[in-house]
Amino acid sequence: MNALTLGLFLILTLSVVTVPTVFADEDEWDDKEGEYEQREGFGNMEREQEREREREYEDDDDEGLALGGGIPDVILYGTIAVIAGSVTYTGYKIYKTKQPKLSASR
Amino acid sequence: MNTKIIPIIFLLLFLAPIPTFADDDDDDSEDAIENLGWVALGAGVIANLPFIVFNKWRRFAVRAGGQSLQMVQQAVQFYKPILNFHIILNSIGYFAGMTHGLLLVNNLDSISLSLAITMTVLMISGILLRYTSSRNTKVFNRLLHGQFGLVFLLVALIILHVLTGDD
Repeated sequence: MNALTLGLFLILTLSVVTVPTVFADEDEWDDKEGEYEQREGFGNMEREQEREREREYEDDDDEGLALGGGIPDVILYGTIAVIAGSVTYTGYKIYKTKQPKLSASR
Repeated sequence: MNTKIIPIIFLLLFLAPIPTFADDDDDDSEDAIENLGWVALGAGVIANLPFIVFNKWRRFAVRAGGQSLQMVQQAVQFYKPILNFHIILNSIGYFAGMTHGLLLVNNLDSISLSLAITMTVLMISGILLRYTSSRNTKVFNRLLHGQFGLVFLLVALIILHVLTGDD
């Protein structure tokens, strides 16, 4: 069973690494590379600047994430507070039940 | 033999979302991912409503006594299948919901994150309640899993997520 489990994990690891790469769209970057290379009179400096602009544009996309302010954030903190409260309350309830009643025994 | 099959099924399930990435048509793949969310929601409703109704009816009937107590004794045989149905369908709903969330992680907002945290807490408490042998852990998770506050929070977050999901 151990050997089988290890073998499966190995296959799992290999699959995680290889399968998405096989399905990934490789043409996009290749085409861009080709596009850059084919342009005549387009120097290294210009290519690098263009790539830099594209990278900045991609970074700007991340600013679309809705995390970081307003009512949704209050909901997130509220959720964490409710969960923490529930766990603490449950633990307290069990602790109270299991605590020996000293006053009753005296 | 069953213990050997389970990791293989998990492996196949792990690879299941990959074809979604392979699809170049953004609209089709986004629709498929969105549908995964509806699958999660549907599975959650079907898994929980009959289970909650059955448990409430059982408690009510035990309190009432008499004829209804006999009905409860007859219905005891259905408890295990309903519990298994509840576990299996909730697991499907949880993994469908999480896959839906992971594939749309670029659009992550605080409400979705809250929903994922709440689902995970309830899922872990349910798994521990079912599969642990420690008495203390069982008692703790029984109390936590059935907390009205958590259930109410989950329902409220699902409604909010559905309402704000398209934004």
